[in-house]
Amino acid sequence: MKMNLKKLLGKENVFLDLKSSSKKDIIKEMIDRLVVSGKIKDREAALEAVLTREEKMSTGMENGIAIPHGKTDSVDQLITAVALKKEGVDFDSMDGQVSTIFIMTISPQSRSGPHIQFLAEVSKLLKEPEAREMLLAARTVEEVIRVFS
Amino acid sequence: MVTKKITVKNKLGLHARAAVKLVNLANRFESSVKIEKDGNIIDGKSVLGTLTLAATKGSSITLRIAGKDEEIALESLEALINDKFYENE
Repeated sequence: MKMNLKKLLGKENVFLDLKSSSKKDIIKEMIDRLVVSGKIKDREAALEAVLTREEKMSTGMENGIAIPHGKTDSVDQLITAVALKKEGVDFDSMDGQVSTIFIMTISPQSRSGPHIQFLAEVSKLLKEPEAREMLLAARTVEEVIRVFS
Repeated sequence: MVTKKITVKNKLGLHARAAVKLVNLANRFESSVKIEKDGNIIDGKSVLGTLTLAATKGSSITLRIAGKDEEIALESLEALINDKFYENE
């Protein structure tokens, strides 16, 4: 099953320039922006789900990519967001590099399939250095979405 | 080179935390670690690579390990996968 990434990403869940400069604040800011765009109704539940997951093991991966995520039944389908922080933030990553590209997913407790599939598709793309460079060079939401399509 | 086909048994499959555990373990060995699923071969020392497999519970993956410590690497990685990445389910 191939997932249409473009369908999952739009103006309402692509955030170009995160303001926060700590891991916790980055997560809060992304969730707050998803609340503003109407994607998330229960801010507290989403925040708790992501922060609790983050405590188990950091989602700071490699090459500047972090994938904060959580599961909560306060959402009834997979919610995704892509955000950038070009200067980077210490996200306690595996390779010790600062994180610049944040891929967030919030999914219902019982359905992890779409979440794994989404991460697989995004990872396939972000493994390529060119895709990461294009993302970090993007100046508009449309340019970000183009990288994913 | 040693190869072994293994079934992913834990409930969540090769999700992020499991992938990190697998990659951290693979990186402890000198040997190259490749993982194959449905014809795709990825570097088992890269989390992003491992996540691209989308290996859910019940999927069959093949470890292909080559190098000086290939035997012990295979044994260790196989144990991690069979032990469900030390997850409860």
